[in-house]
Amino acid sequence: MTDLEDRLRRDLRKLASRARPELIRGPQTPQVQRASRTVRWLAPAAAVLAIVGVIAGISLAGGHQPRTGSGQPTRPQTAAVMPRYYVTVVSRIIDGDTMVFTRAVVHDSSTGAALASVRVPTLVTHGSVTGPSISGASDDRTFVITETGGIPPYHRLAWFFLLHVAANGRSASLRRLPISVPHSLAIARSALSPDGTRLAMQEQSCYRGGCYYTGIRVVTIATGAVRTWTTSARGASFDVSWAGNSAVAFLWGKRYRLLNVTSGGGNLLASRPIASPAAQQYGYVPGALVTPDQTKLITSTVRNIPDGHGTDTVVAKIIEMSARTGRLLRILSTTTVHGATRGGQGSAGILDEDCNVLSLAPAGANVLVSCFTFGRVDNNSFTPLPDFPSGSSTGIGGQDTAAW
Amino acid sequence: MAGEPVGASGLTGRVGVGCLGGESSVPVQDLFRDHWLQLVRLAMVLVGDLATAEDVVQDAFERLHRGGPGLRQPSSGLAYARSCVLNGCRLVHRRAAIARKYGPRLAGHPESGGLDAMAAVDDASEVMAALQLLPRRQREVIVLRYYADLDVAEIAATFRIAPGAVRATISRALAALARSVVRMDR
Repeated sequence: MTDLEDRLRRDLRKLASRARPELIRGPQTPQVQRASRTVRWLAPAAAVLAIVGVIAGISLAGGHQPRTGSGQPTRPQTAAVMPRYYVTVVSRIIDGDTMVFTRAVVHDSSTGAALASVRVPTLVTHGSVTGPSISGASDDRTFVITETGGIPPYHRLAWFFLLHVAANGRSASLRRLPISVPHSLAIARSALSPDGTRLAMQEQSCYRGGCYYTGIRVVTIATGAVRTWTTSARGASFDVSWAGNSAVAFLWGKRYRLLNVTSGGGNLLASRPIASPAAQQYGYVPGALVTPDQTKLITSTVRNIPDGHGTDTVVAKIIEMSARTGRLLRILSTTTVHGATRGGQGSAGILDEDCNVLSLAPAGANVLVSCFTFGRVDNNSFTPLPDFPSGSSTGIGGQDTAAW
Repeated sequence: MAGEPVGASGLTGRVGVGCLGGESSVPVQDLFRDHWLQLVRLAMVLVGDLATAEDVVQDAFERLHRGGPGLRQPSSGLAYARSCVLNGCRLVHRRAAIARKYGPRLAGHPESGGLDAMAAVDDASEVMAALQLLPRRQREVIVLRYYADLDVAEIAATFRIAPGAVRATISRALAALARSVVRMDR
């Protein structure tokens, strides 16, 4: 055997050994089995019976049930306790920079174990892509994944996918939602309403070197109806999230505001300012989530304390504060990192941005956070969770890449 | 099973065809459960990315599972599964080629190179880099020969080509690899 053959064997095995048993999930058996030949003829009859049943059911219910056909999601039922599942999305780039694979992984909220995985079609464009983002409804089984891209600044694209997780979490279905956005609009950070019926997203209209307005766009998923709240004031909205089913919270400048979306649309800045987390040492305003009753914010703070040896001790906290007064109500968890290197403003800034709240459970008691470590906070205790998609190409500090 | 090469001696037969299930009593589920790691590793060396490799094998599993609970020829089960995985890897590369052709610049931040696949590339030896430059068939044959430890007859059965063609492909691939490695050394 030649030296080249030896090297081939060695290097191929080395590459293969990256697939370590503890890193791979094993086969996930599809739930749908092929129908037996002997009963195939029953299928048409069963379909007819099903249609008759549905019609009868609707008639008996007085026709007031929410529509579930036409590709619309059903209205989720709120999970009363900690959501059973959370979903992460990650893009991995292979083959140089020419190919991206995006995957949504369903995890058990208690253990973090991966239960199911779905490949998400990847938006491939000529320009930069924000990357996939995900948000969930309050039923812990309905999620929307958003991918954006395009050729800045004129032509933008956005895809939206509905992910529905099976009751046992072991499988999930994905389909693209028929939501279109004008190519002139840049879209980012979409958020699914707790009842799963509407999608709120940041929008900005930029064309030929200038941005003409910024706003929040709310799309009713079932009908495609759009309402927008815009302003031509200098600035942009960030960190859009829902605060209950009637309001959207967003960051404008250094302050969070609450937008009542039960009205017909209009002026973005007619929204109500609320108390906001303080800007960090280098100006970064941490992400904040507003509880469904709109009385509290869950957010983070980071302090860099010089330790006298050229490094910092970084103290990061997940906190609960009053949305009305800004008063600190509770410290939910504290993380301390010793010996963090301060390499100038950028480096310390990155530390500031590495502690974020990601997703708030509907009951308001559980939060997914990425605060140097990914995990969940439940009533003053932090539980690390595995398999956070830190390699994702998406937002600051892992924002948008995990939701429940 | 962990760490063993993919090759399974004496496994030849009805392979190299489309991935459709059969109706025998050998459960597809057992086959994939027993050889999952091996198949993922085979896909891994062909696509260079663990997540994609897992997806390829899962896709193969689902395709076979949809076709029925068992395989028509139990004795060739692993070879058949392997063939399906190879097909899946080809599809990945074909899609990549299409993306290269029609999407000149893929979205992505320059710093996103810290991902699995790029880490793999960073660590790759000259031999592995040269392997990526080979034509698809040559690359697959080399992987089956030197990673999966299949003999010429098994590889011939996998691709449904003559053993002589396999030998010629290996010979040409090794020559091309040697040339590439020499060029990289300079």
